Amino acid sequence: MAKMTLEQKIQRALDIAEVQNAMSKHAYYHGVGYHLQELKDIWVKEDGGFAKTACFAQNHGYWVGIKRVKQYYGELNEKNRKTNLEMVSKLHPEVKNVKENEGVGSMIMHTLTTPIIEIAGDGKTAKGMWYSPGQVTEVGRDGKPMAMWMWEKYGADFVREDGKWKLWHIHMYSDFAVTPGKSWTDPAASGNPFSSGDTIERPPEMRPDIEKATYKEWSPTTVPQLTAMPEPYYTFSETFSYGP
Amino acid sequence: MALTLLRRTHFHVYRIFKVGWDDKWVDQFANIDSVGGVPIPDDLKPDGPATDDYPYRPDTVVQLVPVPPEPYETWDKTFSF
Repeated sequence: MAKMTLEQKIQRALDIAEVQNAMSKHAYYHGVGYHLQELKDIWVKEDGGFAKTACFAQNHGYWVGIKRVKQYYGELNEKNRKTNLEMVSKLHPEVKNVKENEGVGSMIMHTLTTPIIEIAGDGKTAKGMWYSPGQVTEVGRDGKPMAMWMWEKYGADFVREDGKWKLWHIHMYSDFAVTPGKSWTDPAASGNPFSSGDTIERPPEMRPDIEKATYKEWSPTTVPQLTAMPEPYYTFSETFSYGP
Repeated sequence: MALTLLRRTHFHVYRIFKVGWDDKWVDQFANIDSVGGVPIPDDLKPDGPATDDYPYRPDTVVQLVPVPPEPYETWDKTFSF
């Protein structure tokens, strides 16, 4: 890689901070279920040049294109917030079934640690990877809240769009989820009911566009996988993608 | 070159939940203060009531609090924590 000028090094440092800020915004928006707001603020534009190749991925597949990401990550979440409120309202009649109560009982924290962020030499794209220890609190089918510790890794690609760093691909690699106070090695207490759909109905049209086992949760018979880490690169064609 | 030191002037801790490691915060339906903690002497009690205080409860909606900082030019153009 060519030797960088002082100005280029300063720009690189600024870009790394801005990429981290964008990813941190994802964590805060996700934490309160404001997925549609997140999509509008920090994801690539619906009418932009990266819309068709945007991607949201979990252990079992990819949703491709910003419209599909919006359907799955945004609109399905909105629908679930409404459904959850209906259930909670039945259990707690004092919680009225009105719009401002949508999201009741839910709370998510996917913190971001151990970052590796690389900015492309051409300054057009960036890659990042994080550990994400956290918790997921959701409303179960019976309307009662469910609590889980959840540990994941994130891999994400960013593009500079209209002068700002925007999420292009995000891949959530789930390692384990466990009931508080239990061991994740206990099969009865572990497993990710949120991503497997035990608590949240996932209609057929919301299945991944590319169904593929991209990553395996921990199990006694699973060999740990090293998720690809960002390495210095000049242009995106020279590196790998966290998308499909 | 002049070096400007930035010092912390406001520090707001937003409590969310506090439970024993083997407890579920979703069972903590009652007042979060009932969980206990270090008693605060009278002369060190807060000067005013907590603001933006939204500890988790299963019957409430979590809020985007605090809101993420946005780029700003001078202090009078942004909000205070």
